[in-house]
Amino acid sequence: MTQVLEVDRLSVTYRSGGSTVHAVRGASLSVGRAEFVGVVGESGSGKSTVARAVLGLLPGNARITEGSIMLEGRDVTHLQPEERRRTRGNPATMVFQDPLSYLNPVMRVGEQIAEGVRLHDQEADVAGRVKELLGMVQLPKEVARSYPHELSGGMRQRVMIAIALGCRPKLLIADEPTTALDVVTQASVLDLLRRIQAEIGLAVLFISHDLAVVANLVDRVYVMYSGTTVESAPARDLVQAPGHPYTYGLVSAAMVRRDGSGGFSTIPGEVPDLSVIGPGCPFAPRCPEAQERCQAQAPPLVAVGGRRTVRCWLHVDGRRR
Amino acid sequence: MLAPCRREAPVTPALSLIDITKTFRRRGSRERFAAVDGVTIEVPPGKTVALVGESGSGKSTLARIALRLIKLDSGRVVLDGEDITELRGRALREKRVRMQPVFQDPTSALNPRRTVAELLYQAMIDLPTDERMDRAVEILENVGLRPSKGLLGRYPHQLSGGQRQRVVIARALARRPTILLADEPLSGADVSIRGQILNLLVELQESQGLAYLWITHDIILAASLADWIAVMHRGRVVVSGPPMQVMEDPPDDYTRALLAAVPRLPVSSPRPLYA
Repeated sequence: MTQVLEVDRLSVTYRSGGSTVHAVRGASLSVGRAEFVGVVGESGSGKSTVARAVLGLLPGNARITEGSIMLEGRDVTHLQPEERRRTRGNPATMVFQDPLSYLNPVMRVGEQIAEGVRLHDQEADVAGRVKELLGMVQLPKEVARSYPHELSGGMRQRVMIAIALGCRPKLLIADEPTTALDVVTQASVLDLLRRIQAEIGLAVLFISHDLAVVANLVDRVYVMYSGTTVESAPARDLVQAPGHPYTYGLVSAAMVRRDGSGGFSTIPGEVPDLSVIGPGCPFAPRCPEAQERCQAQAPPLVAVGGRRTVRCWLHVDGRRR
Repeated sequence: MLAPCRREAPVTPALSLIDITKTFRRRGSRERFAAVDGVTIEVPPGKTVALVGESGSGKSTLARIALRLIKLDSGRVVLDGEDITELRGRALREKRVRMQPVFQDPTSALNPRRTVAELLYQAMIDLPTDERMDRAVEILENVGLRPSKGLLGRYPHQLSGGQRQRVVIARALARRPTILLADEPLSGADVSIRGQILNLLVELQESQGLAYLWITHDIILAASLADWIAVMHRGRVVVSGPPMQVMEDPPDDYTRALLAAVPRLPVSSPRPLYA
């Protein structure tokens, strides 16, 4: 069966000043029909660049240098801008971190939801559909007459979700959609996303820096580091038994717990500079398990068991398993 | 309801906020609402008190009042046993250096046109010029930065996020404070860096006897860090006590909701597959 989204060995570079930043380097990920997939990574991991590449929203100084992006079996990697525009809304749509900068401040939100409906759902009774969409995101129908500034952060994010759903998408990309919200509002928006996802069988790619949020939400998780996908596994397996030393570091750090000596778990060092590429594994300088080979040669992505892939020499050499 | 953090021996608190009230007028109306409503908090020297609440709970307003950045309607701010509520101008500035802020966004806290050395020297105006360099080097070492010539000459945008937050902490230390007011100091930091900054702040507390008023929405973090937790909701402290007590048996609905809402990993002890 065709995947809704298939990103294969994608590389993206940015030109910045005189240097080239290798933001994404051979990242591969896929989202199946009605599958809820998470991407976890720190800043500079390339997770948002992948999202933007999938939607065809890379800035002018970015270039896809390698790999491909397939949406519902169609290669959209190098489509012309007009063709590319037609892939947005349907099949792929998005919700971002800061709804206020994506909503039109001088247009009532009902009208903003209606725009997408008119464009992508021509049979629909527009007013009825707007009401229905507001219901789906659990907002009272009166909200249709509000302007964005009159709504709370959580309500605005619900409006963004309603706009996205109005396009009858097959794939929703949510890039840090709850990062700006406080914990209680975050919980309610996440709960809503999960409910809608299951109800209409939507494929969702949920991008976040917060492993705890992702692990509780999605079916399967990709971990990105320094522009590449270093591990993917079912959410529970990933946190219970991390396959990559970086994942293990992330899980430990996300536990926010002090060890016997009173210290918090941490990953030493810093996220690498993306304008300099070494030959080895990008995590090697920070990796407690690193061996000579890791510095010299980047490991391939290997399958571990049936539902997990890991990009680490520990699994290639079969030192364990 | 207002239970300040008491010690057995009578010690002068690093900071006392006593019965603080602050009202704002609602936009487009005459009606006023209390952002902070009769809050009392005491931070003993060398200890950490966490102020937990959602956005809008009044916790950051309280921090700004403590720093005397905004006026208060009533109440008292007592720093190291000295009432600074009525102080103004130079007198206020001289006393207030003992309480240093470390806020969420290190980028906006640092003047983009000053190098690391200049930023630190500015905080050392009480030192003779020829001693500033040595002191800067010492402080940078204290915050875990290697004080090379390169680093001292760098501008904030040339630093990583983690380095920037360390420079903010270094600058705060340069004033020899007794208390740091940390308002979500980790929100901007990457997950792998968070632990480093946390450990640094814990070490500094131990080595320099610093007190922290730690403001956060993350009650789990607060519990692992603080000696005392106060939960704020709609301008009031709804519950306060030692972390264990607040976490294990939250007496109010709000704290229970806050606890339930924090995303937690569905695992207690991860085991690496390769071990």
